[in-house]
Amino acid sequence: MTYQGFEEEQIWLEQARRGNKEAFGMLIEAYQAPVFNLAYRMLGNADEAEQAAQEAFIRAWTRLDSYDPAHKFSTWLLSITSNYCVDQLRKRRAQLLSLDGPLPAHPALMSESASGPEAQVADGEQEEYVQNLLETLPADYRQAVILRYWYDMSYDEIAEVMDTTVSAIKSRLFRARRQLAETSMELEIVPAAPVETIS
Amino acid sequence: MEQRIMEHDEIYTLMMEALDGELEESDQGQMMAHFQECSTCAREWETIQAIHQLLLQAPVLSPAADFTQRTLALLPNTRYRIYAISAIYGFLLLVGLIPLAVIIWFILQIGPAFNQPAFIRGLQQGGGQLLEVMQTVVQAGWQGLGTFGELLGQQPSILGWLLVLVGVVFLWGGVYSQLTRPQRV
Repeated sequence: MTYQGFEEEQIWLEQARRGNKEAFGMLIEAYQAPVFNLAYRMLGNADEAEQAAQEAFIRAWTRLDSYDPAHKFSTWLLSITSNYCVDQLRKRRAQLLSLDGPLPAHPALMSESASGPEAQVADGEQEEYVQNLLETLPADYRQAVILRYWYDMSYDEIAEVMDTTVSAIKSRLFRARRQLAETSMELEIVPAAPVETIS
Repeated sequence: MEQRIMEHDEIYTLMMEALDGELEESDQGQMMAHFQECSTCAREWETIQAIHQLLLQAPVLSPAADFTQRTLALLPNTRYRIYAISAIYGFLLLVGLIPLAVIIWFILQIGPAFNQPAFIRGLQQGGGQLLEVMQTVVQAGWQGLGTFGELLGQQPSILGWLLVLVGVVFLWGGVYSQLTRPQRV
């Protein structure tokens, strides 16, 4: 975020704190995609993700007084979202709901990378593969992977969001990556994405 | 064998460092040398890299276009909430303060009367009379219980009728609460 963007955000936050819904609407507009994406990656279902995203914004709105400006607003907001999603996953597990396969993609889902019909089919397959892989992970591993890959967060930031230590995050990411690789190898489905050698 | 396992673990750590872009050149050489000897690790490294790239390329998804408007419509009105909470707190404060002020005023008004000997004497007499009245009531109650006990001994069916009466009261109480309970939609 640029300095100007940061200043604008601070103004919106100040106005929202005083009960200005329009200012909070600007914050929703700015953060709806990251919040929705996090919820979708965690829950794997567009309808539930939308409800979770709305709930996260409502919670943020009602708890704006407890937000500490010393921290990034995005980190605080994503923390609310991910905690809510973890609760939802726990409830889902408690209800013993088992899903046989990935849920169908929501028609409202829009990917910025989608272009022509062929690209959309390829993106759809890749999307399904990514979501299936994520769903094999326990909730806390999944949370760490999503925050690392989609939000480019440092270990410190992930630890702040998940309210744990940096070493715990490193350990979770380490295990999550190994588990993802093992799952892929067991199922003998290596992703079709081009492999760029990391050196 | 143990040394071999340790070596695998070390290589995994190096793999993670490589993914995070923190791998030093010397370690990279060690890792590549290990991959030439160990096909399992080499294969796993390829898979981990492929997944790493796949996750990096995965897009950020957006909700439907009217998400902001729909979410704004769900927000509770905090301004009215703040006014309502302030009003409730103010009311509670007044409810607590007014009786306190009245009590203090009353004590200040009648305080001097407490020092009059006639008032103290009257208070003592009044207390004594109250004790006598209470004693009489307790005695009468005790006698009444005794009489009722005797009556029960002579006519035990009275107890049965009383139990039936209590049962009827409970039954109709339950019916009433079922009828007046709000229905869930």
